[in-house]
Amino acid sequence: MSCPRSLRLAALSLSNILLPIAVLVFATGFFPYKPFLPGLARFEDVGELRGGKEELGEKGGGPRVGAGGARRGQEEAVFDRVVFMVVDALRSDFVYGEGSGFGFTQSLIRSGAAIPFTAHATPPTVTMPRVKALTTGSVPSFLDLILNFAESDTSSSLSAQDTWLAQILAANGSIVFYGDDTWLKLFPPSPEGQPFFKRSDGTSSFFVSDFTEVDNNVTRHVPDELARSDWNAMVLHYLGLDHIGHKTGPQGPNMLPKQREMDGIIKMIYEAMEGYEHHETTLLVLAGDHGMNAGGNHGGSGPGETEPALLFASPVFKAMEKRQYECPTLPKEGTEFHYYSKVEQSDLVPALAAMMGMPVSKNSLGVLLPELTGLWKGERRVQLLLQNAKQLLHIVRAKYGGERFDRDAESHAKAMEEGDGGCRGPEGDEEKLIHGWGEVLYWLAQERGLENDQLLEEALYRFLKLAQETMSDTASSYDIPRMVTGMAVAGAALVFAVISSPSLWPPGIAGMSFTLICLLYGVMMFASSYVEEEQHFWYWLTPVWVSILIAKSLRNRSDMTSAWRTAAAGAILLCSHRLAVRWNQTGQKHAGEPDIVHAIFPEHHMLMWLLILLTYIMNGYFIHTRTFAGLLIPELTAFADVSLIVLATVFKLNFTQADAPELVQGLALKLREWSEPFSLVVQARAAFATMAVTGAGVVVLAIRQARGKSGQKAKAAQTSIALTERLSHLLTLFLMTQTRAPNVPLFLALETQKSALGWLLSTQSSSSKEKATKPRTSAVEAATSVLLLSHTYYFCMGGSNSISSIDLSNAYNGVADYNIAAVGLLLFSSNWAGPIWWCSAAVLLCTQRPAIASRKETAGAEKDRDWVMVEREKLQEDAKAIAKQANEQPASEDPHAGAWFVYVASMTAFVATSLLAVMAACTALRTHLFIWTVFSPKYLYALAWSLGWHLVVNVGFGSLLYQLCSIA
Amino acid sequence: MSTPTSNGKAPLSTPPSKPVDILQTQPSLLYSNLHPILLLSILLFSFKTLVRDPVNTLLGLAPTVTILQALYCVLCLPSTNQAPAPPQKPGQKKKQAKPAQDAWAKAVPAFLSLLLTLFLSTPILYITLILFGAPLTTHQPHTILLALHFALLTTPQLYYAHGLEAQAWYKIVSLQLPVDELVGMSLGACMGAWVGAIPIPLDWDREWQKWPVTIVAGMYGGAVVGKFVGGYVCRGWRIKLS
Ligand SMILES: [Zn+2]
Ligand SMILES: [Zn+2]
Repeated sequence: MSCPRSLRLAALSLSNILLPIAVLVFATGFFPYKPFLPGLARFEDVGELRGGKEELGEKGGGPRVGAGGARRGQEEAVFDRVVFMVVDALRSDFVYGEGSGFGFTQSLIRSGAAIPFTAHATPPTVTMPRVKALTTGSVPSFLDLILNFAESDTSSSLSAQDTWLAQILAANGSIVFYGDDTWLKLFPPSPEGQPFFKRSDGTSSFFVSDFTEVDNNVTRHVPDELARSDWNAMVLHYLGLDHIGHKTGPQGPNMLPKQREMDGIIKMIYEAMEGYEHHETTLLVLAGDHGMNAGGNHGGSGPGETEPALLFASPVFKAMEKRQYECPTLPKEGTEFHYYSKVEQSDLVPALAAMMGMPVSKNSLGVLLPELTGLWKGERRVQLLLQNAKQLLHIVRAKYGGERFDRDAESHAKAMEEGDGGCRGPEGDEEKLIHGWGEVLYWLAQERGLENDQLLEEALYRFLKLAQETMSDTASSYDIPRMVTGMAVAGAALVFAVISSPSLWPPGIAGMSFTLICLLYGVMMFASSYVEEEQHFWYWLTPVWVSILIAKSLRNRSDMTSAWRTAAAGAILLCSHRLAVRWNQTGQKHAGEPDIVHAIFPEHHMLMWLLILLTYIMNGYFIHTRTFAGLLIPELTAFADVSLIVLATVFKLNFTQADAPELVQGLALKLREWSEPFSLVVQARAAFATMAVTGAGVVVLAIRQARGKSGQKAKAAQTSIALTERLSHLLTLFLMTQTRAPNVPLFLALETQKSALGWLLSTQSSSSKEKATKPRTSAVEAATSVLLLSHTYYFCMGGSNSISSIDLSNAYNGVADYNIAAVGLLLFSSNWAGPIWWCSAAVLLCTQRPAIASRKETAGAEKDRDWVMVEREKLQEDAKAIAKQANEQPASEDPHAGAWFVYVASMTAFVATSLLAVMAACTALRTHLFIWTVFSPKYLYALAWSLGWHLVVNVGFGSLLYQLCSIA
Repeated sequence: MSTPTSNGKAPLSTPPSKPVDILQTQPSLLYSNLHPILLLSILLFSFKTLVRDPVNTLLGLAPTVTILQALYCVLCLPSTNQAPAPPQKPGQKKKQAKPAQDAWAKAVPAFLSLLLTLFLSTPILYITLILFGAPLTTHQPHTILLALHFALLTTPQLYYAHGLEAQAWYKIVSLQLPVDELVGMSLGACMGAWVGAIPIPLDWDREWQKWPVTIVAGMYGGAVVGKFVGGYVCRGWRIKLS
């Protein structure tokens, strides 16, 4: 079962080309297309909606909404000013629950001056999509999440979209803004240089350790602005509460004081509303953009993440007829965060539009809140609902095609007129909507009167709710043929990957294990709890695979000493694994439970810094002895080494002081004072630049050295180190810079595990020559080990399949202004540091060579030295020799040349299987309750693994490293 | 995983060993078939209490399992020659051994096997369980008792049949012994315990998903299945690891 090599190469290339195609094709079918209406809404739009409408309206006694709507809208506005106060991650129970710090706000609710809601935030629950939802009223999808990271400043902006802010500007109003600078990115100045906000001051949420400055920066503007009357909307976005959540969780010690501080600001604003004459008709809106889970994070749709508070306050409400609200109160039975009425976040937009006399923004999917309709008398109320319904109807028609929809709705109305009763249980979304709108038309045409108005209102609400539900429900807009095509392409990629594998039969233990892992992983993708707790899968498989390697390695050992070494290597692998697994608690079920990083390090920060220092010293030692070995004079080597390590360590220290000061606690004050004049951006750039220069220098020098010595190959093979090995230690340093401080000691575990794995994977042959030419490492074994360990380290460094676990803190190292390519690279390398590291380790493992008898003796002679070091040295010598051999011999005859090929083929097979499984799970479970909470985030992660880790890192970067091996 | 071997530079390659044969007497054949049934039934009968109170149930079951395993060794297995045998007088001849002496010659190695199981296998398997992901900071009595049961299921028969010799244990650990009842039972218990961990993270919210119920169940089931497979289906096979 072996095709010619060129054919296999073609199959593997084809497979890797098909992977991104499969991902993209499936994504276009899976992430729903939403009709988007350009331009600003005007009252005229809803007036001239349909030709037949005026007639219907006249029959009912004069046009209800017509060209005169704009004037009347503004005349009948309840409020002319709005203070829109966003408190980031303001979960509903923070405001409404027992033990809340919002005492004054709760008294407002009791007195009837405030109307409370729990607003449902659709995932992804991160700030930018939520701000989009709160301003446009649309429902941003997961595609927006990718765009959130990928957007350049112009394309992400909402300046081209219809928002309630744009409506205020269109009515010649003006807006001031203070708070999270996400808003400034979303609402940039116009192309003519006209700023969107009349006055503004943005704060960045760069370091979540900042609890006070971010908020003081906002609050200091508030009294001045309240005293002025030249604005129509003031937007405030407070970040402190979200930061406290991220740092210490919802129960943290700073949470209650922060809530009291926010309550104080509401009190200040409310008192100004009572005190200042120009604030007589000012509305205060308090909204959370999203909530937070028990760990204080957000992004997905875990409990609490999707339930922010939403509250309208004004003295005007006291006079409105409405129900009484108790406060503080308990959430609805059986729920944790469901207080009062649960509404959609998008409902804010029509509510604001109605209260301020503006047209409803074009793409809003909101429904006018019934709790607020007490502000208007019967006729006006119907008009507002009709305005809302016609605005939503625009979106419905854009989706289903206008002409036909109108015709069918009218015929349904006619049928009702003729007493048909009309409905024989409409089927499908479109038919339901047609019937809903037909009913509205029917009641519009009826005689006006109290009873009919009541029935019309009911029909309108039915239609509104139905339209909101249908248009936000993405299930209706899956493009199944495209999804199936995507799966078919992924299946083809899998087939080609399998074809490209050189030796399929008979399957060895490694091949069977690898296949079993692929199959089990595929099955696992269909169980939502296993997708959430994927780490268990890898934590569970790795020790068993290590045990198999131990047993196998024991068989190959001919003497007691090496048998004991095998046992020691196995013990090292297993112990490091067990320790790493407890480093960060991840997953959903036990999120926030104690682990080493969160339970031990905050109390023993000295221990953590000792480990970190040890890690840097180890890396410095390797750079000194391996990376620079034989390239430079010792003085220069020492200088370069020290500057590399010092720059990286100082940056790590200063960054941690800014990012997590509780882990530094006044440590190394002198050092920090000394480096004070240099900003973090400068420090990071200095560290990265030193690494880059060193890397380039090492490449040049090593190649030159290799050329110079090409005559005496044998000698070179013994004394020098493969370029790949040299560079791998620089890569380690880069990845350490991109890793959060508490995770840095894991690189110690990584290094020891790599050495131990090198021993277990190596086959010790007695002395015979034919064995010496066999590859020292079975590439499939290496691939299996690297696959398991890559995933293990991804999860034990805190990664998971939930959006909320993405670590943004290191994504801006050395980046001053938003640069999509740099931020993307840094973000990926900080979240996938472990898997990237293992890719370079895989190259080193794949270039190992069998130990021959003479080597064994050297190893015996150096018995007192650490065997790991001996092993390591052998490993590098071999790597070079092998690579050289690979270059010199014709490919077909060389057994080593195939090692990396087999590794890539195996990884391609796994990635194709996992993609296929995730796609199939997403397709089969598309109506599942968890599709947007578990399966679509998993798809995004599968996308990152396959495109980022597999294609870029393994196929691209890894192959490059492998090629370098043969150069020098 | 560590090998209880003596240190030294002894060569490790030895001629291949043969599968262990069950004694062909009436009582041993009978008990050999009864043994798995007994093991399974004590688990089934105590499953409810195991879910309710794992620690006390495991503790209560341990003596029963010990006796079952001891009987299995004594009745069904040939004792190893290298086993730490009872002190025999040099002049005594085997031929003349009376039934009482014969029983004595079997009971002592069995007793020693159980002692080793308790004081050597249990700590080693406890560490192994921890390394494989058993909770370290909580549930300690659970895990210790789990290790005890694990040791009782996997090792007494191996000690009894193969003794304490380094060669034999090197072969056991590197899976080089030919498959027989004993190897099948031990490996089956290991695999069963491993597979038993699968249901724990599922969101079924069942009481029996708690530590270490599924592992115990998997272990016993695996041991019984392994014994059958090793003794009948795959007897004499050699495990390939390449
Ligand atoms: Zn936010
Ligand atoms: Zn946040």
